Amino acid sequence: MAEEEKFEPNIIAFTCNWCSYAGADLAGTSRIQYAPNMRLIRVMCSGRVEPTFMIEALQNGADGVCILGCHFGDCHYISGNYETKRRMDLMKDLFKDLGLDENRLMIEWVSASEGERFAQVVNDFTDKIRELGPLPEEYQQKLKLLKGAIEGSRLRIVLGSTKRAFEEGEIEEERYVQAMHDIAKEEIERMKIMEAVDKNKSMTVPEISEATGIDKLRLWRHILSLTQKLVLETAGEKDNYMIYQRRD
Amino acid sequence: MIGVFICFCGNNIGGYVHVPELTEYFNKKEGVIAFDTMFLCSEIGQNLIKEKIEELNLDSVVIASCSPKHHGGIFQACIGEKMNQFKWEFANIREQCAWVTPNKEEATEKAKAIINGAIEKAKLLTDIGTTKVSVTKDVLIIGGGIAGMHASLELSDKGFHVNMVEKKETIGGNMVRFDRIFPTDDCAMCTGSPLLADVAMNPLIDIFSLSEVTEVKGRAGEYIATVVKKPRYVDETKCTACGECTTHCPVEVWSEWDLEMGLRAAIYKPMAQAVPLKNRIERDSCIRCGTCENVCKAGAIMYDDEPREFKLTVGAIVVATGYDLVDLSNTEYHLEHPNVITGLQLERLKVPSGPTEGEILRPSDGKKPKHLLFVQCAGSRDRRHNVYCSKICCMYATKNARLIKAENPEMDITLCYIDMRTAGRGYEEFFDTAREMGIKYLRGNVSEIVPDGEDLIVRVEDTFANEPKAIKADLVVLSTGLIPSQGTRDMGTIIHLVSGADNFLAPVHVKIAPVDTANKGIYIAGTSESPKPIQECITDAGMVASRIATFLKDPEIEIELVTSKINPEVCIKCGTCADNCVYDAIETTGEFYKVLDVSCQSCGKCSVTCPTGAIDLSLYTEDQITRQIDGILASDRDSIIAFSCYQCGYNAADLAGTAKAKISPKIKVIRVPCSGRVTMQHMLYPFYKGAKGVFLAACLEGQCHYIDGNLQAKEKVALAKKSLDIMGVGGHKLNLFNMSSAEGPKFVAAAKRMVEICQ
Repeated sequence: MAEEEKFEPNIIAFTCNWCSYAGADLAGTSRIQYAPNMRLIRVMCSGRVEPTFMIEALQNGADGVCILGCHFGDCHYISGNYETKRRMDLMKDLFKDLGLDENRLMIEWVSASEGERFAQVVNDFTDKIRELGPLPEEYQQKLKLLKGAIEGSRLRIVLGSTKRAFEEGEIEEERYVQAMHDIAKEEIERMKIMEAVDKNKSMTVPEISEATGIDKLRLWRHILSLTQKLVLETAGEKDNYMIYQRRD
Repeated sequence: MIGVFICFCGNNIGGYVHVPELTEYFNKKEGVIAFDTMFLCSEIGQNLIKEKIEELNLDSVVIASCSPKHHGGIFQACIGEKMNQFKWEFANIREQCAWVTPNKEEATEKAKAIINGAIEKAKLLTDIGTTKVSVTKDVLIIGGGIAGMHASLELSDKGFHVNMVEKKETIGGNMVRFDRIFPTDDCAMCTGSPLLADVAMNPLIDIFSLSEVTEVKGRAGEYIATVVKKPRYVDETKCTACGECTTHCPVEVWSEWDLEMGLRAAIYKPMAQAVPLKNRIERDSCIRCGTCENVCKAGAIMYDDEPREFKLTVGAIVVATGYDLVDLSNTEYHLEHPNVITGLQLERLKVPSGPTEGEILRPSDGKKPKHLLFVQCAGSRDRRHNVYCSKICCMYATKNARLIKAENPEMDITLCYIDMRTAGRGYEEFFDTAREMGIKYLRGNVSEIVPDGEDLIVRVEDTFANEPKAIKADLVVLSTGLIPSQGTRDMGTIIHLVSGADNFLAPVHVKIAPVDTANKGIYIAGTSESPKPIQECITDAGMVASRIATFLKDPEIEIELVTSKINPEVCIKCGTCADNCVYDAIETTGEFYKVLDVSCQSCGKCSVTCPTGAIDLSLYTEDQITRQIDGILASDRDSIIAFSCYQCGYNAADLAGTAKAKISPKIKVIRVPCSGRVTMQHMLYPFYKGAKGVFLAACLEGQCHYIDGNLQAKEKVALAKKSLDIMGVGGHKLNLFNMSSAEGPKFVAAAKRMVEICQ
């Protein structure tokens, strides 16, 4: 118990220039005291925060990451906070899917006049992360998969097109979010597949299934896609199965 | 003087009916002279008719022989040489008398009544003229598969301008999805793609992809088709099919073109040789991310593309709308199991440019099967699915088995069959070599496929060894039966074509007029007519092109004026006829109402609805039908009159005859163009004259050749039944039965039912 109490988390907070960063300043000029664990990174808009930033923070020593932006309707850039909220929702979903604690991520709205609220939000999140303890070492493996997936062009395209898709008004938000989620899951699985294939140089479908835990029927769809996209290629046959390797 | 010519038809009539007795009987009748001959349709028979018309100066003629559907054209032409071609009436004493009446005495009596009816009608026949109308030289081909493509090339070579309407995003049909074709093992695309290119480059062929025909109006020689082109969301004039959009599209769904054996993006082209070679956005899977629009350098993406409707005026139409496979999901075949696939899916696996680059890898885990099993007659020759044989499966399964065995000699390949049907040039030899290669042919119909994890247990009785077997297979290929495609079924309804009980479109005569339909200027080709191999589709297409070239060879065609006529002295200009005419054939603008001869399709519905009897249909006038009833009942008072529509019910009655079914001699058919032609007067009058019953044999609902004639008849029958009830005769003695032209047994059942009711 004594040792746990000593744990002081490292937290990265992305704050938007127009609201929450000014809120932090107001907390300061008002001499409001709050936990010192949080390191602020100023961005012009909360919409600037890419999911990769959050993962990189966790990969490099942060125990929790939060985004602080303007309240809905107040965004200086009209809709940046909506965009970042959608991405955060997806990240939290993917954290859950991967068995990571989504409470290590947080998104909150703090206006320029809410100095007191800023201190409160910081203190609450610090307490929560302190309670959760240091980021477990086994997170790193999964964070790597996640980073690979969200850096891939497929997921970047859908993540980057939310505003356009909804503004055209031809697709329901629910359907788009579902598609985004499905694609993200697929991409994470493909990261797993490629990781396994790279490690073993070449593998058959049952071997990949065993290494990744992906059901063979679902795996076959991935193989069809990865060969079609020229990521994988066949390299002979083993026990009536084709052997797949990365295509250079 | 009316000349009656009676045909023995060899034993076909002579064996069942006392022909000389008939001749003698009618020779005694006043104003009638009768002759009999062995074959009336022969040159001798025709010369007899012509001689007698001239010699005796006959007023009209009765031909007592086979069905007019059979040789009607021959007799019309023969009589037309000597007098007006419509001044004759037939008496169908073969299909509808000799062949359905086992007792010779009864058959003879029935023939007397039929001929007597015809004589009475013939007394009232008048001259009917013809007129010439202009024709449009353009042709519409519906369906861009192998039959449609071949017909379009043939027709354009003959100088016709062709409009090809294709439902899918590319023409080519099913054939270009195959790997190889039997019995030559040619690569399907190698034979198909030159055709695709020829059609695409031909200046006389306009291709409308993603388009459907929604309505056909007009007349032979000048049909007006409404076409709806669905949005492609890609500007066909700008897209270069570079594929940049497909590469970046984040969506991935199962490809319909690959029959869910492979994947596609939301923007795609089905194949590298697509015609038109343009990408398409499939909007159900598109998530509107805008990536394609961003990467398209040609600026071809049109998210706001909309359906476009336009009209085509054409002289002739070819329906080449093809087939689909019967859906065997959730049946004993368990098509829903990933490792049970159809023959067509196997083709996609075998195609070198397909999702597995030609490797046979099963969908559950990509395994190359050790034990591959083909199931023949899956959904064919089976009362639970389709009773007919799909004709091509024995050969295509053998083709695939041979090709796979040649590449994988170690693979165990079994083919379970009922019997192998390999009739055709080089087919049997093809099958022989398959057995020599070591493919196991097991004679037995598969009863069930039982999933066993990823593998399958196929239950089948080996009828040579006489023992039930359970064969383990890791991939099962169903040689799935063919059904008419949705497009084929839709065209049947939209163009009002006759289809069989199997829903394939029916030709006028399956043997002697295999591509003609009952609608002049409309032809059928390929598998919209029945399951058939590629070469037969091409043969059809060639024949269709030839038929159309003949039909459209002159700037004008002659049309017979078997149309409705309005008597201006009786007409009160109420407009009821015009309201009821689906062909807009009644002109109501002038001083008197007039029938537009070229638009009138001769259904006679107008005559039934006219409150004053001012409008009447030639060749089927009110009085002619009444006198025919008189003639029949004068000869046999106890008859049951069967008004049979010439599109369906009449054909069904003929089919019953061809099948030598038994029908009571009391049943007497009166031909009407449409059940909608039968007035209430016609329905009630026979009872007044002593008939035992009356029924109408009409088309199936929704399949009326004249759109709604049978529905109109239904209303009239309901009313007439009430009247019969009030009069104490009993409405139950009047009925309407719906049947397709292919449903002989339904006519037999209707006749039997009427006899039971009216006893």
